[in-house]
Amino acid sequence: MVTTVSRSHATAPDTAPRRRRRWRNSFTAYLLIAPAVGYLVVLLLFPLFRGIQLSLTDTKLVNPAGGDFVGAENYTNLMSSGQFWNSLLATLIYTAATVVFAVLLGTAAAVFINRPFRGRAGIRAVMTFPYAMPTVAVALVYVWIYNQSGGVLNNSLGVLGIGQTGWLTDPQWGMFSVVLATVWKVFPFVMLVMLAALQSVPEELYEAAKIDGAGPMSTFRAIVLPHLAPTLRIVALLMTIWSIRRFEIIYLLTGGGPVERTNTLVINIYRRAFSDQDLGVAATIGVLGLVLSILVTLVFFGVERRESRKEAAA
Amino acid sequence: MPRIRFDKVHKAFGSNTVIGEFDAEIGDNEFLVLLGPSGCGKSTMLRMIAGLTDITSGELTFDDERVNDLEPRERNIAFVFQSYALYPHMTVRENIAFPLIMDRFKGWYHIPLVNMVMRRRLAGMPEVAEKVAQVAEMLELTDYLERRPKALSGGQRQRVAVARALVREPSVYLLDEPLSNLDAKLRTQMRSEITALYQRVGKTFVYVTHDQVEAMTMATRIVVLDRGEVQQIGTPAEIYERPANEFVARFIGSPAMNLVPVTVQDGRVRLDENDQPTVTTGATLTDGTYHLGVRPEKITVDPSQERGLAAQVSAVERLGGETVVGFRFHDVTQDALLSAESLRTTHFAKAPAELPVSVGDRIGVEFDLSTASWFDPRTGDRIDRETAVASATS
Amino acid sequence: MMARIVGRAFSFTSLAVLVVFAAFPIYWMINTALSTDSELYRTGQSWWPTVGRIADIPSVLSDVPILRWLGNSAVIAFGTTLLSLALAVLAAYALSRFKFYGKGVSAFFLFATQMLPEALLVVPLFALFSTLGLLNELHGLVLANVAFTMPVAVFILKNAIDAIPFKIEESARVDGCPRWGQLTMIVLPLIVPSIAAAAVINFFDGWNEFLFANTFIADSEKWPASVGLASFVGQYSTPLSSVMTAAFLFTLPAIVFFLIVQRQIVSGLTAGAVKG
Ligand SMILES: Nc1ncnc2c1ncn2[C@@H]1O[C@H](COP(=O)(O)OP(=O)(O)OP(=O)(O)O)[C@@H](O)[C@H]1O
Ligand SMILES: [Mg+2]
Repeated sequence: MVTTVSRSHATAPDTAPRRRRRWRNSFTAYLLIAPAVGYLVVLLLFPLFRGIQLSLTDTKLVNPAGGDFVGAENYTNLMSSGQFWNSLLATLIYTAATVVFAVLLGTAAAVFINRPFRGRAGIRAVMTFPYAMPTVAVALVYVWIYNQSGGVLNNSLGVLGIGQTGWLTDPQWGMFSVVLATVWKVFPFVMLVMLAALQSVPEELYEAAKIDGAGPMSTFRAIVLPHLAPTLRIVALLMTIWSIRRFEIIYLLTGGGPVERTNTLVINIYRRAFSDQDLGVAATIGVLGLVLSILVTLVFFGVERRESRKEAAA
Repeated sequence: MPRIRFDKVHKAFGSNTVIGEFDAEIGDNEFLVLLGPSGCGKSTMLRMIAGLTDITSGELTFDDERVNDLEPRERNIAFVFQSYALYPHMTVRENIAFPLIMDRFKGWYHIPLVNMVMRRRLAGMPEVAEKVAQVAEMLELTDYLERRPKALSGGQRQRVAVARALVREPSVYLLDEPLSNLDAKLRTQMRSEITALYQRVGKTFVYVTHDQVEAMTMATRIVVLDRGEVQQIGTPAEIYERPANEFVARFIGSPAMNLVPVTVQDGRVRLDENDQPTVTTGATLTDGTYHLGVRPEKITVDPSQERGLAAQVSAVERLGGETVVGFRFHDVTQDALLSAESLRTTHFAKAPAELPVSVGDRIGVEFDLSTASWFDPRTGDRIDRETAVASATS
Repeated sequence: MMARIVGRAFSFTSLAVLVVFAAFPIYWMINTALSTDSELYRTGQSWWPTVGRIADIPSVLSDVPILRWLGNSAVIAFGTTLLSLALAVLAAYALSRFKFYGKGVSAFFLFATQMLPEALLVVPLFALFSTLGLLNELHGLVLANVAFTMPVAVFILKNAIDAIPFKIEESARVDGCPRWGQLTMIVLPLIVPSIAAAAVINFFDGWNEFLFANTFIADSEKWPASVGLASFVGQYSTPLSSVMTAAFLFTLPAIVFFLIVQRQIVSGLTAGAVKG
């Protein structure tokens, strides 16, 4: 079919058939990617725009289609509400604490497990269990561990003669308990990724360091850490974005309490929407949370660019 | 067995021209070798013949039928990739059968799951199974039919790639450096196997290589390419004996052809590098400067210094069967030995193995001018003596 | 010499502490599951489980409708995986093998989904699903989940396809294999390990998902196990040991599958994390 067309165009080579082929090629590509992109447009982008739109209205849950346009009122109200700033603060504390501890713990675990020893595969498997465990199950177990009267934490402390607390109900300890459970759940991800990065450190580098007489600590600082740095940055970024987004474990452990100490933006959205039934305000908090994620990402890519420029210069 | 004709074939990736303007014709049953240094556009040429890369402008015809816009399979070609590109998840048998199965595949067979059933059924068809067995037999792969490519040696993989090309009995075989991944010994062996295959199937072969030995031993005709421009098209003998320009002269032959700057005056030739005796020659060239091209085996080395021009040995390579003698017309000093300048003015001769010379010796060298080539030092192009004479007399 | 012994002892101890830290809550879940409520709330929980109580597990099924919920979870997880992979395979192939206008934007769009909080989208999605009549339906939940799992699968699969030499597909093209055949007969068989990894990751995203299920499914018959189990948090009328047993049944498949395809999952995760 193409042949006949091309023969008739023999005097004017590479016009119609070529263009048709190229077009057909792009068309195939669009055909392949359209379902995925279309899907996301309908189920993510459209809801996202709806969310932004909602944040400019006073829509209530009872009548999601109604609601009047109120301009930036939700935003100005939030900016002047202490509750919102508390929520932002809780998000920052929660994010910073989980990222720092998960990255430290995960990296340390990766370093310890990187060296070959008997039973390593088994130990590594055990250490990845928390990551594989469903969050709801994690929450159930931790609620019981933290339980004020029968929980193992208080029981053990009691045996040691140390005072007991309501780990999830005492405003002083609520955030700590939530962060601990979260770190437990996510540090294996860091461990797995860092382990892969560690195993990509060329053996010769270690040998060179040994020949130069470097001890284990200085080898780690001088050889391993620089090699891990790019992966560490990516992992930290993912951890940060995910922490800002994380909902289930906080919701199930404390529901934002005690005294709103763990009322992160995401929890706040949910409570505003489904307890206070105030969709407009909930959406506003969501938009602000998204802005926070985007800012973090931009900062990250800024740092990344500077680092790679530094490396190029070196 | 089509006649392949290139008419002003041009290829550019964006603004980057890869093939300038290619005009050539490949006859029936030819073994055409595309030869040139890395990056000169050989693979690109081959991929355009195959239909894997679009031709930017110009026309490619098989038996006067324009094929620019045909899919690879419609051109009835086979392609052997440099890396073989075997299907890693299929056994050798499945690899070889794949083109046959595809020939018999109908559109609706492509429905997921249906395709698995139909592939198995087609592979079981006697005509397919027999053809596979026959080709495997021919290439001595029968014992490996159930293995995966991963479990084969380099030479066996290469044979599977050839078998896959062979099984459909295409009219044109396109081979892109099929031997470059093999060690020297296997390469020699596979070279003769491919030549034998060519003689047996009697089809058109287009073979890409940057190895001049492969080109010289296998080709019926060679196309020498440099930076996307055709330098010369000819039989191996023509290319070797009458290189069209200095690039070809230097690219073919090992060691390369010696290019000696000379001045011709009144029918006598004088070496620019050396102000001693001029050489009498029968050459009838117009007066002027030239580069004189002489093959190393056309230079006689005389350790007794009785004949030829005086020179000094700067390198000796004893290869067993013969000895390559590097010499210069300037004095050889130790520190000059390594400089780029000294390399440029060192010439090479092939001498008998047992020739008693060592570095620093003074020798006489004699050029056989009757087979020499002459090049214009400005353009690097060959000057045919006949045309030179003709222009001199007119 | 001394320093080496101290170093060894240090890393051994640290490792031991880490293992206990990682394993204890899981151990405690099992231990709790094998205790009675009178132990848990009155006499105090023993450090060691009473193994003989494994025989009582069937009685849990009368306390907690866990089998029905697990069935719902499985339906959601299977649906999520199938739809997600079907979309992701095509998109990954396009992103890896084609040049087209808007490719960069599409790739960015896919990555950007990692930043969107589900909690923000749950509100407009709730409104959207209520107009479409998808609330309280398992397939509605599948639709919502796929929006978040599919981009992850695209990344894993795109990286896998990128690693296949393009020459192999060109070879198939010369052999007369059309584009679609190249995808189904050449590319897909070669990325089976990555497909398995993506499938397991997506499956358990669907299996574990809580937020959408909790918001969209009101009918407790249709709850997945995540929502069903969450309903016991802070609720003391059901025996805790039964709840823990149910939680364990919910956890078990995830851990087993994770172990089976651990290597592929790790390379999938690393590819996603490192290539971003
Ligand atoms: N897809 C492409 N896009 C842009 N430039 C390309 C592309 N393919 C090849 N080139 C360029 O075209 C030139 C010729 O490439 P080609 O592969 O034909 O060389 P070659 O002669 O086969 O070299 P080698 O002996 O190394 O295989 C090179 O400079 C290469 O960089
Ligand atoms: Mg090439």
